[in-house]
Amino acid sequence: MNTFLQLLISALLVSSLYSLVAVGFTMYVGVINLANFSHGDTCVLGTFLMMPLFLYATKLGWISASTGLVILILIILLIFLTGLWGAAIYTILVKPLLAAPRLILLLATVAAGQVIREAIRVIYPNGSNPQVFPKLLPSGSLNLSGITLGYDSLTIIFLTIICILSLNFIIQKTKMGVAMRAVSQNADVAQMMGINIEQTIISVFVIGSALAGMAGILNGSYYGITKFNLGSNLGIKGFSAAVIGGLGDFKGAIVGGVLLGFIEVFAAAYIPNGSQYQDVFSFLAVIAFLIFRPSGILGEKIFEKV
Amino acid sequence: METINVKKRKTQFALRKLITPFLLIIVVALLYSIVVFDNWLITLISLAIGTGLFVAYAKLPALKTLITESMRKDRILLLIVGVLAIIAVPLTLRTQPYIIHILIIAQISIILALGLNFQVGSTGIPNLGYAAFYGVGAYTSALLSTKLGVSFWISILLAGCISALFGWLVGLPTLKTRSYHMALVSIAFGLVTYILLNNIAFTGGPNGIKNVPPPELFGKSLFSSLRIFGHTFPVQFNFYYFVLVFVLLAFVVSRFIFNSKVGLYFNAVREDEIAAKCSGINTSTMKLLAFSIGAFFAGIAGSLYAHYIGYISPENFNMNTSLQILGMVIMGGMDNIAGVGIGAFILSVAPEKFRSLADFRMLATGLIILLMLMFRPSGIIKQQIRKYSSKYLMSENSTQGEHHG
Repeated sequence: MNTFLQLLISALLVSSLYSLVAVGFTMYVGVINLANFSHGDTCVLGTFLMMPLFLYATKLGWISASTGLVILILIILLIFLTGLWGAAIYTILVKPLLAAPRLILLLATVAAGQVIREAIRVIYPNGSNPQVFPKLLPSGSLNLSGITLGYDSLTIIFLTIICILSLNFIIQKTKMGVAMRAVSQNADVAQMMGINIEQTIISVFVIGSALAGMAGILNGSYYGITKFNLGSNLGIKGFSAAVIGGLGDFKGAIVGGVLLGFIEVFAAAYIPNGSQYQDVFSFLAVIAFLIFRPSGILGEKIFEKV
Repeated sequence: METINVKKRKTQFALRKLITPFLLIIVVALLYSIVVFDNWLITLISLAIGTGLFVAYAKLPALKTLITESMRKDRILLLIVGVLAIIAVPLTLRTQPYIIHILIIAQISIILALGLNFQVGSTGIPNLGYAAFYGVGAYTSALLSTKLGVSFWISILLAGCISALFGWLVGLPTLKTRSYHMALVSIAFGLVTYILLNNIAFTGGPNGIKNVPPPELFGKSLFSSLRIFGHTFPVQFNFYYFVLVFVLLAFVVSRFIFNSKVGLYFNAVREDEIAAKCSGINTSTMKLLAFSIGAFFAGIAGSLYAHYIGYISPENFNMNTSLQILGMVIMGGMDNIAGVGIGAFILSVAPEKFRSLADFRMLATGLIILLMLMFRPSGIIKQQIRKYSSKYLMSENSTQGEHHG
C-alpha cells in the first residue's frame, strides 16, 4: 500500500510536467491547427537560460540573502523570457509560412527544434554533456506514516495546479480567453466580430511557451540535471498527452498528461524490466488511441468536410 | 547588311553550341573540387560558387531559357559524359580509397532519400522516423547473415521486405488521422526502435553487430581487391560499382512509379485527400503503399550499409539520421527525383569535407532545412509539372477513361 501511494505521488509529479507541455501543444492546434514540434525544445531552452541567470544571481550574492524571493523573481523572469521566445517563433517562423502547405510548416517547426537543440549544444560551454541544474525547489521531505513526500515534488504539483487554474481563469473569464476560444472555433467569424486574430495567436504562443519554460525549469530542478536533447523526448511526450486527451481541448491536455504520467510510472514499477521500456509503453498507448479513438478522450469527433 | 546579319547569326549559333560544353566543364570542375580535394576552404569556395551560379540561373529568365534549351538539344552528349564520368571516377581515385568510401556513402544516401521522397515528397506524409526503417533493414540483414549464415542476396531481399512490412504497420494507425498525427507516430516509431535496439540482447544492445560478412559475387567476396593489368584496386572500388547498380535501379523504379498512375494518385492524395477520394482513389491503400515502398528502399539501403561497413550499432539509426535524410529530400526538391539525388549527394559529401567543424554538422542540417523551407520550399530543382502528350491522353481515353488530376 505504501509503495502504491509513493508511486501515486511520483505519477502525479510526472503527470504535471507532461500536462504543462501538453497545454501549449493543444492550444497551438486549437488556434491555428499547427503542431509545433519545437515546443519541447523551448522547455530545454528555458533550463539553459535559467542556469546563467542563477549563476549570476549567486555571484551577486543574492541567493544566500533571501533565497525564496530571488528564486521566485528568477522564475518569473524566465517565464517572461520563454514567453517572448514563443512570440518570436510565431513572428519569425510560423507567420510567414501560414499560407504555405501545412506539411512545410510542420517540417519547419521540426527543423526549428533541431536548430534550438544544436545551438544550445554548440553555444553553451561543454554543452554536449549533461549539466547540473541548480536546486530551485525546497529540499527535505515530509514523513507521513511511512510515505515520504518530498517538498520538491509537492511544490511542483502545487505550482502546476496554480498554473492550470490561472490559465483556466484566463480562458474562461477574460476577454483574451474569449477571443482565443472564438478563434479556435471559427477564425473567420471571430475576425468579423472584431477580434484581433494576430494578437490572439501571439498571446497563445506566449502563454504556451511560458508554460513550456516553466515545465523545463521544474523538470530540471527536480532531477537536478539537464541536457541539450531532453527537449525532443519531453516534447513528444507532451504532444502524445495532448493527442490522448483530444487535440485542441484545454482540459483534454491535462487529462492526457495525467493518464500518460500514470501509465509511465506504473508500467515502470509493475512490469518486469519496465523502467527500460517505459517510453515504449506510453507510445503504445498513443498508437492505441490513434487507432481506436483518434479524437482523444475529450475531443469531439472530427469529420472532414469538403 | 545581309552578310553582317548572317555572320552575326552564325557566331551566335556557334556560341550557343559552346554553352553545353562550357557548362559541363564548370560542373565537372566544381564537383571535382568538392569531392576530391580534402580541404574545407576549397569545398566552401566551390559550394559558394555553385550556389551563386544557381541563384543566377534561377533569377535570370534569359539565362535559364538559354541553358535549358541548349541542354535539351545536347542531352545525348550530356548523358554520355555523365555516364562516363560516373564510371570513370573511381579509376582516377585509385590511390584515395577514402574518397571512394565517401562516394559509396553518398550512393547509399541517394537510395535512402529516394525512398523518403515517396512519403514526404509525393504523398505529403511527414515521416520523421525514417532512420528506423533503415535500421530495421540493416539489422535484419546483419542478423540473418551473422547468426544464420544466410547469403547476402537473400538477406538483402528479406531486409527490404521486412522493412516494408514495418512501413505498412506504421502506416496503419495514421490512416484516419492528420499530418501531425503521422509525424507523431513516425517519431514514436523511431524512438521505440532505437530503445529496443539498445536494450535487446539479441541485437547486441548498444554494441551493435560486428563482422557482418561482405556480399559475394560469382563466388568471390567483394572484400578481395581486384588486380587489373598489374594495378591493385582498393576494395572500395568493387563496392562503388556494386552499390551503383542499386542506385541506378532505385532511380529507374522511382522514375517508373512517378510516371505511373500510382505516382499520380500519390500526388492527388498530397494535394487534396477528399478530392482524391471523390475521384475514386483509395487513399488508404496509397498511403500504405507510399509507406511500404519508402521503407523497402530504406531496408535495401540498410542492408547495403551493413554489408559494406561490416559493423552497425543503434547510433547509426537515431533521430539525427532521420533529419539528415529529410534534409536531403527538402534541399534537393520534394517530389523531384533528380533533385533528391542531388540533395542527397551534396548533403552526404559536403559534411565529410568539414570534418574539422563536425560539431556544427547537425546545426547546419537544421539551418539548411529551415532556410530552404522558408525561402525556397520547392528545393534546388522544382517539382516537374506533369506533361501529358496527346498519345498518353488518347490511350487513356480509349481504355476506360479514368481521369484524375
